[in-house]
Amino acid sequence: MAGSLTGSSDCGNRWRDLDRLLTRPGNIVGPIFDPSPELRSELQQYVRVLVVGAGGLGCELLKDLALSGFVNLEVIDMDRIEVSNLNRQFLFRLQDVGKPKAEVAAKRVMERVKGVNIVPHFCRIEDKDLDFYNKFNIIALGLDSVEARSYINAVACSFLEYDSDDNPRDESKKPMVDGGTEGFKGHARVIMPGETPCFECTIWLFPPQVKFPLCTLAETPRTAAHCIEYAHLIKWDEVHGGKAFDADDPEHMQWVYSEAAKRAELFGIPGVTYSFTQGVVKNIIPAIASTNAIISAACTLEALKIASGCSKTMSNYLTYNGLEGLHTKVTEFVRDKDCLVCGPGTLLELDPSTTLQKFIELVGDHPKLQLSKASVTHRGKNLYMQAPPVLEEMTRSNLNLPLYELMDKVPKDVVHVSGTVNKDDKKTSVLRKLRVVFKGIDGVTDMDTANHLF
Amino acid sequence: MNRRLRRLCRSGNGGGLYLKYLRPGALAQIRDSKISARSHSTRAPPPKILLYRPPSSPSNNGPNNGAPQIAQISVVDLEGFPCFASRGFAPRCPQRKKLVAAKSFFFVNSNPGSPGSDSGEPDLGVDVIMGILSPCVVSKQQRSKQSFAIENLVEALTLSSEAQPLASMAEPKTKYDRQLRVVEKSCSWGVGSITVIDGSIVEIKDLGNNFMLDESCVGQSMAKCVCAFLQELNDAVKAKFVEESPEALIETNPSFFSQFTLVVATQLVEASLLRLDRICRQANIMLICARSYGLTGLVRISLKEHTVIESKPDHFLDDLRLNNPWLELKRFSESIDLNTTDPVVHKHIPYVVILVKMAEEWAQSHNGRLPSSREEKRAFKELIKSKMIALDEDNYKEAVEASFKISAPQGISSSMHQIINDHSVEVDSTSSDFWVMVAALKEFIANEGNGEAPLEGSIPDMTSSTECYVNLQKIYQAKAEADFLAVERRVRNILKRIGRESNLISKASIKNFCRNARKITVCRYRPIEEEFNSPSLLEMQKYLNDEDCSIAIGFYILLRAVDRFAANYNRFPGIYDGELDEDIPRLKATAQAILNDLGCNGSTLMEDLTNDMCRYGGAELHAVAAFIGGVASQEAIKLITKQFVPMTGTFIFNGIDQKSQLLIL
Repeated sequence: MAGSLTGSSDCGNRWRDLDRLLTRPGNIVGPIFDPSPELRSELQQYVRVLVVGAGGLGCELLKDLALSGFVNLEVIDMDRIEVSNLNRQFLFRLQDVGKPKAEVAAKRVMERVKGVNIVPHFCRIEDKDLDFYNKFNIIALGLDSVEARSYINAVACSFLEYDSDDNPRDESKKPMVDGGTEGFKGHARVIMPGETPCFECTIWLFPPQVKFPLCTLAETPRTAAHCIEYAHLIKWDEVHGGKAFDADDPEHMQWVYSEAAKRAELFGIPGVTYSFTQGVVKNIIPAIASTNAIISAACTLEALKIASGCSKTMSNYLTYNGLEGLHTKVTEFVRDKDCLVCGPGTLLELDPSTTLQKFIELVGDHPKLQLSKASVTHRGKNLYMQAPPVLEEMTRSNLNLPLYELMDKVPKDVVHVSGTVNKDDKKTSVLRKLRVVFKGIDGVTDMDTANHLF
Repeated sequence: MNRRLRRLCRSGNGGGLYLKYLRPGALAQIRDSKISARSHSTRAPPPKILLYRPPSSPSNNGPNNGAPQIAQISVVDLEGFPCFASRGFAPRCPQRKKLVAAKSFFFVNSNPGSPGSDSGEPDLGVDVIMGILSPCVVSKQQRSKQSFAIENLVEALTLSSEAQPLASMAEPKTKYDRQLRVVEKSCSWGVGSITVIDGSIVEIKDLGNNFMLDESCVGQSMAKCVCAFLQELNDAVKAKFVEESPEALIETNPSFFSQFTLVVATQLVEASLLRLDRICRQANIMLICARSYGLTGLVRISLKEHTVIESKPDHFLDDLRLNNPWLELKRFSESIDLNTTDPVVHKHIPYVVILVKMAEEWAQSHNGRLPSSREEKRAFKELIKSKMIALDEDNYKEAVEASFKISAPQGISSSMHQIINDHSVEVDSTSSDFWVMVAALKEFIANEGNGEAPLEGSIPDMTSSTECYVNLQKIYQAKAEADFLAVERRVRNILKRIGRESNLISKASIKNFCRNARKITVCRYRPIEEEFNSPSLLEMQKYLNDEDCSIAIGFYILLRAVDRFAANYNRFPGIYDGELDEDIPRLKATAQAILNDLGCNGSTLMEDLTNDMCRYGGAELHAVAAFIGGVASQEAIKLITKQFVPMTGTFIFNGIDQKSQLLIL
């Protein structure tokens, strides 16, 4: 397929502008940029890009990547199209409402950009295994949730390997470009695991969400939002006992709105409107199409530079603010050397007799990890899987075997553990990389790892 | 292509494994390995990619060459589209035919009664017309930026649902739920129509960077195809098109532009841009120009003056007047006993009351002064803390955090000072509503306001009993209402004085003005020609010497230089591979000449940047175009809605390290 693309003179003509950048030498370019007329066909043949999210940003990313010479694209999104998506998720039409976003987005871009191949995945990001993610050269993130970013970041960083001097191996770096928008503001960043800070290194950039204390909602409401959250979180359950609230059901929303309006009237609080109710209940982050266009364009340009080296890459975090005038800034954040996610991995020194069962318990008790319900993989081999049941059953017998034997008696190696942690009273899925060292095995010198000893 | 190698690359391990990871420039390595693999292969090498030199390149340099091409296209066009006639009048400037610039625009028509607007349409305030122009034959791929400006505008500007009755508008309301939180009160500015102006025919190379076109468009009218896609995007907006070159319109029919609210001009070279700027200024039409060129581009706004009432800044100190409480607020605070023994009441006294009372107490023991030094401020915080009777009293914690507010300077800010002392405040019968209200505001501040602006009237959420909070709200609202009435009286008097209908400005408008009085903003823009001929030398030197700005100011000069180059050589630099080496010194000399003209004699531009500019060869990358188009759309939204603050100066996109800059020259 890919070969025929480059053979057609029509297509060559089509990419004339892009080829100017790819075929000509320059002095302000990436370190190993090697301009050549074949660079684009190589880009098209070898480079696979995954777009995570098919919402406002994701749609733009798919379109931008397809029109920037990338041919092998895949997109993953678990959502279906809603009416409220139509105004800025420009690939969707009214007749698409209810269909999976990933599938419609892929179809629309393929219809318009001939030669591009987009594989949609209508599922949760956690549903895919590491091998799935490992087949991509670049992962582009168009997400609006901190948790999802965190997860993909951990996946990409899990491929990072370190040499014996704890220097990251170049060939194991899985680059990511990440975009985010809110109203007139947005950010675009390049994450080169092991080189630039990963999402977790700079997690402080995302402050925790404001939550209202329940007693305020129940006893001393003062704002319209308090009244709405009362109707949504307290009153709904009281009245509808057991029936789940569905934010996409207009009748449910209407009910919450009218209850909130009643309560507001009772307390003399102004400002409860239907659209405000929707905004509060759905925790809607304001979005406008043009900001998505700006941010995804910046991400795509960086992806093109990562893949081809045709210009310097941004280092490493761009913020855009169009609220008051126009402000852009590139900040060079630095890595957290002790990052649990992109660092060399948490070191665990184990006795060779430690069983897998014991190992899973240790991971749960470890002060830095506190990871419960752990599934364990080593070099792509599932040692123990909590789910699905069929895999659990297949791997259960491993629990009583020593980890050392399960790891083919290597004195030290990296093990991936996935499970859940409690963060802010919320369970989140995490993936952690552990460096396991077996004590007293040849080739391993004593390490000063008092903190990690078990 | 070597099949064995390809198989290897596809398989998940072995030789293919390293291909899964990609460092910058890794492709080059991949190719090297491939080349070495190929050298052992007996298969023929893959066909080489053609260089993009027109087949008849030698004759292409002749000035007459473009005309037949145009004629040919026109014939094709004639067959497909009856409205060819208008293109027939487009100027046939042969020297332009080789430019790689295609120009495009869109326009927003503000006149509801204009022929373009549908009389059956209820009061949609604005009609948008947009146009793409491209008189140049050599390449039309530049369209993408502009199309994206358009696409984003259609998506973002058509919010007309807020004012509609809920039941009948359920669907549009849902459709825009996210936007409604950004731009409230959008009822008055839904875009009625957009008109695309472009005189060109879609070619295959246009498909490489314009999502609005697909293969079926090739050979058809660019304007018509883009328009059809726009209409599909949003059927609530009327999408229109004019198949004519914008340059032709600028030359022959300048009054054409006066029907619009906003013109977005894309990929216009300097001479046409300056002419269009003059036309738009004269007719008071807002102009946004956007340019995408290789890894750079620019966005600039041009109009005489843009005034904003609802500037909606991100961080703005609330208007609680704790530094200068008025009588009713003091009285209300006095009615509340901080020493109450009821712990529930104690922990629900709003911090506003706590601070008013504590400031009073402090002033009494400090000769009527409020805390000002760092020491005093710290002592004041300690005083507040000493009044806590339990550790969980959030209201006291809030009071400590907000204690700085009692020391804030009284009176109006310097930016407000500047606005009320602007020459426009001397109003006459031609003054805008905005300046009439500013004149009233100035009088208010000098009289009823005692040096302060009208009170905003809203208070932030704070720990409090509902009753106490609502009462406090009422006190703030009452003061805001009284201030508003005073301003309103003055507005009516001023209107009478300047010989206009005294109720010309609605109550609601004045109220809105008062609520935002501290945040009003005035943006003014120099004519582009003036900036080009006499930029601020001081700023120019500053940018040239600032490392963070050096690439951006370099691109600013080089973007002008490529236009001057094009005017001299009938093409942009670096279009042909064969002339790349000669073009670099030519462009360098042109850029240097511009710097000299501006009086920056000692400055030289980075050699590498000039080389890079030649490397681009006028290419328009989709990603760059999408970025520029997005910026232009954001600014268009701000201009049309008169909400938020548009940029001033010239935004220079820097696609090399993304250190874009706003240059104010």
